[in-house]
Amino acid sequence: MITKHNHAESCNHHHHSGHHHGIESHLHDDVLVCSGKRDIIGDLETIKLNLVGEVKILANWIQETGGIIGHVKALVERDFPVTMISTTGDDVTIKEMTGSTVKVSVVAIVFNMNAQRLECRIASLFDALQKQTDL
Amino acid sequence: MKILILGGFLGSGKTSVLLQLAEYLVSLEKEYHSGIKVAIVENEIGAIGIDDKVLKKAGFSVNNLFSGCACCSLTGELVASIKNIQIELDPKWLIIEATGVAYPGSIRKVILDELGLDATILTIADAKRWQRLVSAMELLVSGQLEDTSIVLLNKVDLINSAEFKQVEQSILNYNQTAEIIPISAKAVIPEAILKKIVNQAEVLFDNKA
Repeated sequence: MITKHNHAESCNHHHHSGHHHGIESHLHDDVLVCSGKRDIIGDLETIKLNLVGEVKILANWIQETGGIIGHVKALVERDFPVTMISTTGDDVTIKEMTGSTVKVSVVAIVFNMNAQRLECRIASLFDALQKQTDL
Repeated sequence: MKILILGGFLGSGKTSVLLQLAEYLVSLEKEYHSGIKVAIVENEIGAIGIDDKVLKKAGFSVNNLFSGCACCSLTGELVASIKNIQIELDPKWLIIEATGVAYPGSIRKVILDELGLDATILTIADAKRWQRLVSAMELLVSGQLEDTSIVLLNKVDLINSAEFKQVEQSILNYNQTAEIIPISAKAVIPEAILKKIVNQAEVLFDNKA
């Protein structure tokens, strides 16, 4: 069942069983570990540049809300061009897709932080990254 | 198979040290019979691995342990992973990068108890954040110093000499026998330091043999 939760900082992201799609969090002793991954379509260099800014904003937000950063790490990967080879029994068709899909992963390991708030914040990071890339 | 455990708090620079150390070990073992001179067990507490991808891109053989800690919740997986590496790859060196919240001494104990193999612990400490981390989570950061023979005090380029002395003294309060070596892992770690780490591990291995 897909629901929306309510908390002090309203979050408009859809949740499934309390989690954002693509974002997982768990507690390890007192440590909150939150991991997310999203495909962003756009130019690699632009995404990298924007991600640096977004990671800084995320780190500031964590500290301003009383969290202690263990670390925040992000990884940017690009797999292209994509080649599709297909046939219906006659000729074999080769199709190259050159559009750039960039996989962005973010892992935040934080002390003294609410899991849903951090999940929402990381979901917002991905949204912001896509919006900035679309501009 | 000689085993090195790399411990230290989150963000202390373990992976940066590991990359340089692994490359150094590969350069030392030119004549080794196995194709794999250095194998790495990468333990990440998150569900998504990041450091393992960096290490694989650098050309190393990496086994992943995700979503838990090799010192507590993933001890069985750690033991199975080491056994597999020993049988299938037979590397000269195995480096285990602990999570930033692991107690390296506990990992060493698990390996010793379960496999009868001893390991050298190398702990990386973040000089810039040390005092803040001690204030906020003393048990964890001091516990990571237990049982370590060498502490690489990383990011010393970001502190002054007075701060360095404070951090050094603080570390010595928790572990009086460890050798503290200042480094800046974002730059090249001097070969003499890498050699010292390797020598410690060699001595431990030779004494057990």
